[in-house]
Amino acid sequence: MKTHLSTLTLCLTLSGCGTLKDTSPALELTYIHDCHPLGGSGLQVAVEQANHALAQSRCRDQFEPYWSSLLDEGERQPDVSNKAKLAAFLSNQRETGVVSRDQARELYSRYFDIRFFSLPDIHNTCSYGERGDAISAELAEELRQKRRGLLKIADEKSAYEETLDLYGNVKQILLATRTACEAG
Amino acid sequence: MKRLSIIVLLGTFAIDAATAQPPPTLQLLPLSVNENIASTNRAAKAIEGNLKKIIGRLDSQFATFRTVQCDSLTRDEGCQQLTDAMASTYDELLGELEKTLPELRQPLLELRDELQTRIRYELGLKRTPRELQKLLLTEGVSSQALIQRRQSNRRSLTDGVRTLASLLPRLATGATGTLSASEFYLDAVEAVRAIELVEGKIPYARAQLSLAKAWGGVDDAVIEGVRGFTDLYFGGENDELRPDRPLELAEREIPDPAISELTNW
Repeated sequence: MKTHLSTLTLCLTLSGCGTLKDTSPALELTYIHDCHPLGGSGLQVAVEQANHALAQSRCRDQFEPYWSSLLDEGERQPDVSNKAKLAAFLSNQRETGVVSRDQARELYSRYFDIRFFSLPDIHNTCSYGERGDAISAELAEELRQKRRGLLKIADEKSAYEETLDLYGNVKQILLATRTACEAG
Repeated sequence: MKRLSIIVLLGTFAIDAATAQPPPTLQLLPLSVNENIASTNRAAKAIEGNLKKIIGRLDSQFATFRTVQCDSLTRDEGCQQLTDAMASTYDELLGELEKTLPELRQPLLELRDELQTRIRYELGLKRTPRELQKLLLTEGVSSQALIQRRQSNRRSLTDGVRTLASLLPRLATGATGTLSASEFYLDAVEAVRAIELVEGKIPYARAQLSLAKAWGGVDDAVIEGVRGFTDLYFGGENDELRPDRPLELAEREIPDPAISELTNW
């Protein structure tokens, strides 16, 4: 059911989808546009397929659906090696110019780095004021992504616990700082 | 107020830690703050001792009241004497709070303001949110220690003392300045609010007691009032913030070059 739903969601976001010839969970195929289908053969194969597909001009704008499908594929067989496979995919896409270096870093970090990429790094902390709520919401969203990446895809419970601790500590520092900024 | 007790206890340990350990990366808890905490500690201990004595007497009076099956509507002489005694002890409790809370509030206000200034300048004005994260990671705070400490804030004073006795030496072994300071600061903010809350409740509690003396129901007024104050001061139920986790974290693997490149920010 989950597979069907994600496939449907994926199709709705695209200009066109391949016909869903077989939606049985056993096959778990995800058709992206009229580009190469992913899934069913493990993450390494899916990464190669995605690299191949994105190298073709007609599929070049389909990076996000492919990334999403690769995460789904990683989730089917959780393993620490999935991190390296997905990192290699992102590096490849950066080298071929499909994504920028910053985009690749952000995508990888949001899912697999224990640190929080979404924390702003431009202005001082006081200057965010009431936008602190938005920072908290973004942090929570990134924690969900890390839960998926570290726990469900990479099967790294200890790393996820580490990021969970960091999340709590960052939130506390931000709360104390915001309280002090607003009082001052 | 319950957190206040924890703060002042932490203060005692923090002073020892400050003299025994090298200074943390970012010094947000200077000696003046420690002196302030020590002063708050002395005031809180004195208050706590007096309050416990009075509350102990109230407990005993109330137990007798129940044992002899008095209630608020009973008008016999024995029950009336017990009711008067409870009202008088409760009045004494309110008087004690009225007298001593200002002594406690002043050093706490100074502590709060001192930390507020430092946190605002060092963390709020000098650093971005991501730099705060980096600072935390640089200081390498023991996450387990902090989890225990957060939980201890939700416990009674007795539980808190037990946890802190084993926790603080470990906290003191690392450069825990930033996170400790933020916890102290938030505790101080909350403690000042709690004191103001208690002070605000005292006139209402007195009014309730006067009404109860005139119309009956002293026992209910006393029970309700004492419960409110003791929950605030000595702590309520232990509210677990998160499940326990193993103390030791698994060692991080050495990342491959693609990962290193992607995490270089």
